[in-house]
Amino acid sequence: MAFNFTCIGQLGLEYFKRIMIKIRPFSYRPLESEKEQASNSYLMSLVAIIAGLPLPILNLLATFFFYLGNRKSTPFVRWHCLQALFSQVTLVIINSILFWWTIAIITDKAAFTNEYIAYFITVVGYNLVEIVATIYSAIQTRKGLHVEWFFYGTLVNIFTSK
Amino acid sequence: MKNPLVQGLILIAVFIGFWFALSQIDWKPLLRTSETKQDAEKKLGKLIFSTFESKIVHRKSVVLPLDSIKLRLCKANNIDPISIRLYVVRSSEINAFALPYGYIMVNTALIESCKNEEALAGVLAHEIAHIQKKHIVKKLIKELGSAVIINITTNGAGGEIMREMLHVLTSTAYDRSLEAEADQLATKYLCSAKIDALPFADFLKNMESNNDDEALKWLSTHPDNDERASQIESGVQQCETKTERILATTTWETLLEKVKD
Repeated sequence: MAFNFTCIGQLGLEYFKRIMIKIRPFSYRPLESEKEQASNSYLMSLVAIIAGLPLPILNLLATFFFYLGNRKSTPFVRWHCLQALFSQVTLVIINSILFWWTIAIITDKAAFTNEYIAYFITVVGYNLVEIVATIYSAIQTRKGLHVEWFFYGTLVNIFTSK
Repeated sequence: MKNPLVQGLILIAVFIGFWFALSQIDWKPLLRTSETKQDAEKKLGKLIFSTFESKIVHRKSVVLPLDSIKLRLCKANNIDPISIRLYVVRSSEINAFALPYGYIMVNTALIESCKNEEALAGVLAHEIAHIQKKHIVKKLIKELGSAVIINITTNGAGGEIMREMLHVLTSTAYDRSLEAEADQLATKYLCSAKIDALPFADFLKNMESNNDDEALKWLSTHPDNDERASQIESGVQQCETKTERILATTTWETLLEKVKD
């Protein structure tokens, strides 16, 4: 059983590295302080995910204010702050839907259906993937490696190139 | 694949794909949600019923005619008669109400005020409709909140909560839409059971004209009776079955005598 879990974990990590998260070269070699600040943006977003779980808007606000505080920082820090911020937007949307759907069920305005349970599981899964990706990115950026997420990385590249 | 639009669409497709695939599984039996809900309703129903137990009428001459009406309605509408727990309560209030877990409480004063068994059958059909459409728990949740209901079913009810719950179930009106739905279904039940629904409409009209009596609780919990009566009358026009009597005249008269005792 333990072997299987390790295998699944390794496969998942490999999937992350190959498709969802790619380590790419950055335009310059970041300084030690930049690595720390960029890594902190992910840690901030990780704390915000946990704090924001009951009220999903909190994580977006926390990451947004962290970005505002660092928007005049170096390109490496700004780039990673933006990636952390953009990834939070999706979470806010899907977690808010789950939050209000749950409230509707509690107040008997909606039925407790298979669709709700399926959505609940999918959202929990998405949140877990996001947490793992955030921890992985925090570790890699602390090492000075530039990690680009699928979709969000591309968005940040477009945003920062303008 | 550097296009963010394509990547975004892939992400959305994966999310929706997972959601769709998971929603194909029937989770409710796996999570036993219906069992938990039924247990909670049973506990709640029994708890409220226990407050009326001392006033329940057990006389066969009262219970049996009402059971006959219930059986006729249930059989004709494919409703399990065991799931409807009908009781007569000795009370001077003209009232009948449904409780969770299929309990229907009919006050003796309401039976007395019915001119015939068809009117009584109409009241019963209306309460059965509330049960079948699960209006009772909906009303309790709306008035008291889910948290209170869950707390009662797990820890029991305190005096104040129980009073509030009884007030909600016996003297607060259902939503207009729920009442209309129950009336519509009751008319259908009566039609299928070959019971004339017009006496039920007359009962509502008579109650409306005698509205000065404070004891008319059932009326106060069911607003706009004239409007309801006319809706029932229009429902009757659509019913093409020939009506049949439920009880013998002597049985009905004995019932009226015994409830007056």
